[in-house]
Amino acid sequence: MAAPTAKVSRGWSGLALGVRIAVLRLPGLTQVRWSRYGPEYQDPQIDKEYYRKPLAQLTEEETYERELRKTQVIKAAPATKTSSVFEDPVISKFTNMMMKGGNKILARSLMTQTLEAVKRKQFEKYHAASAEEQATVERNPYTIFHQALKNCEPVIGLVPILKGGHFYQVPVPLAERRRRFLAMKWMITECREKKPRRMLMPEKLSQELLEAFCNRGPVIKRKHDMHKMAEANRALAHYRWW
Amino acid sequence: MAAPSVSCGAAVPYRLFLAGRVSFAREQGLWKAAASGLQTGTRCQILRLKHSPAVTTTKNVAALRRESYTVDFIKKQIEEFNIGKRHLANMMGEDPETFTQEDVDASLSMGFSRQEYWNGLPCPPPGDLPDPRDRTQGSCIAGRFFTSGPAGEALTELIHVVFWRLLEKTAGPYVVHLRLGAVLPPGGEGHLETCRGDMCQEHRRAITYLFPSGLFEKRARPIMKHPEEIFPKQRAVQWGEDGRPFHFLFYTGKQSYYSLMHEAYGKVLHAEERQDQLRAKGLFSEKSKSKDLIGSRWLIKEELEEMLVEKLSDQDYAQFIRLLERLSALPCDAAEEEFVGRFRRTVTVQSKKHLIEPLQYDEQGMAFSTGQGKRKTANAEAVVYGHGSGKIEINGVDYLLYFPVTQDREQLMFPFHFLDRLGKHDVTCTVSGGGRSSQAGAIRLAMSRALCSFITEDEVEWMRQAGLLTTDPRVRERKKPGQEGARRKFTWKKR
Repeated sequence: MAAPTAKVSRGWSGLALGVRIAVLRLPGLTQVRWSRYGPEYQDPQIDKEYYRKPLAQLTEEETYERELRKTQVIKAAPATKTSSVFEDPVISKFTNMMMKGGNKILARSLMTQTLEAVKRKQFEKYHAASAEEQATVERNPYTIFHQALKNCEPVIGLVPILKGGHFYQVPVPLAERRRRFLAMKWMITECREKKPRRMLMPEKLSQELLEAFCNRGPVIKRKHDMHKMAEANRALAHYRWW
Repeated sequence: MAAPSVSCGAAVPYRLFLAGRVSFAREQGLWKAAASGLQTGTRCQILRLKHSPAVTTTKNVAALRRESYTVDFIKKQIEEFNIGKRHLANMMGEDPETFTQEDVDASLSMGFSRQEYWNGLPCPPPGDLPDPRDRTQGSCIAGRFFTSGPAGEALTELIHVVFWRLLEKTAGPYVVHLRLGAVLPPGGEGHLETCRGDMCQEHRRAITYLFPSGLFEKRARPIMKHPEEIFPKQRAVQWGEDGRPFHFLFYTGKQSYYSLMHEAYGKVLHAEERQDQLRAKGLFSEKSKSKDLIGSRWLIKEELEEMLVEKLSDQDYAQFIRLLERLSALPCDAAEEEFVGRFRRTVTVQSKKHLIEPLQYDEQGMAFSTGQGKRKTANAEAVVYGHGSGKIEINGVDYLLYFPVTQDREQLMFPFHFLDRLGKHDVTCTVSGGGRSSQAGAIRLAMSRALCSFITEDEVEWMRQAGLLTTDPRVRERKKPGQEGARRKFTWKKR
């Protein structure tokens, strides 16, 4: 379910402890996003190492946080998250974005096949390369995936701003999560639309990932196009007010 | 022996009143004889119905207007409550001085259902009750004289019980007349016989019988609380006979709030002055946070409103809390600490709420523990054995066959992997309902709960913070009329 709209800031030192804070209700407006959890429920901390850390090594901030969590109610861990070492939040997010109609099984199998395809291609390249080049060939599919997506992230984006009855495309710095989202979105859209008819998704996706890893390919080009447009419209930058 | 004063529902004054329609002229001998003393003096006073029906079809303007109680009325209620508490304590055989509210609540709500009660009690129908004056040997009889209407109706008849008992140890039957409120006439006490001090099973059953907690409607259940908790707090008249208000801040509209703000700000100034003096002398040192910041919280707006008996806005409340935070950041002396402490409430440590079952042992001496889990509509029960090889059996089928999807198996492994006990336990579980993901989630919760018996308290707290011990409250949202689904609206058509 969507998270509740109100978030309590860190400024209240003791206010947020175990207290259900009512969201500010304006007259004439109803809440459209709610959660089965109350606002006092905190997200679970699944990382095993966080708990195994001995108490002596904790900083003051961390001890305070530990004590604080003892008084808080915690939400249930979602079904997609485990403490497994094989789990990667970026991969999970990408899988969810690839998913269609709630078919997580298919999306996940496509993801694993993609990573396997990436690995196979890299291994072929590795075995075909000479001894000096072998050191430079990256074989871990996870690092390739992360690096490829990082290479695809745009730095600056365009936002349509209404001024004087016209919409102008104003260059705007993007937040971290927006950048990650755009990179993943472009990758998936690219693979879905520009795919040859008989080619399967894992194959195409692995191809695109490897190209993005080397800073080539259509997704990187799209990122550069975005940057060029932002550069072209830099005269409109003062339309931004935030 | 006078009876305790009991109450039904929060809105109703704690004295029980008869319905107007109930006639005292019941032809049962029991009624007449036993109630004769009560009848004469109390008839006019008792016959007043006070109950709030569950459904109001017409707007009851008189009821909606907030009822105000005079100071004398409240004082009288408090006196009667105290007297009633002492009587109950005497009946229960406890010491009246140390009879606490918990004992009152315990005596009033023993907690077993009506059905069990009715089956267990050998009570004849009311018509067969013998004459109370008859001191012959009798069985344990108690007559029920209040109508149990549909849920929502308060008790509508006078509770009047004649309770006979033949004790092995002490001879003679007892007659217990319960008085309700202060309606007993002065001369009526003569014929009442006091109950003996030793409280025993039958007495408890009598009280539970009289004040049954098996009533479904919670507002109909009798409660016996201090009038302060039942009647809403009201402000006394704020001005004198000449019309001049007592408080200098009366015309602000929120006199208690502003006077509190003045007081707090005065303390802040005082503390700052002291801090400056310390700095000037060079004795100033960084204040160590000795206050228990985590174990307590600021009181919420509703609590503050209740304390001040005044309506506050969110901004007022925020301003007040900011001022208190400022005050607590300065070096305070004992008086200021106490002042701030008045506005802090303790916060419970969550892990204490979990009850960890002790380990059980089967015939072979193997330790095992059971746990139950729910997720959406799936229900699971898991039995975790102390020693094993990591085998998980679900409904008689191996987990690899039951859950072909990796994600579900990962969920099953999650609690064990989290505790580093992957190959060390065997699990047998049964699950029904739901789909594959919710069954996996239900089994995960059941296993985590069962595992709590095998691990230390710290590890239980870690599991709780990892979200393994919380039941997921998310369920399928219903479809709404006028929409295609829970959230999806119909396609918007311009015309």
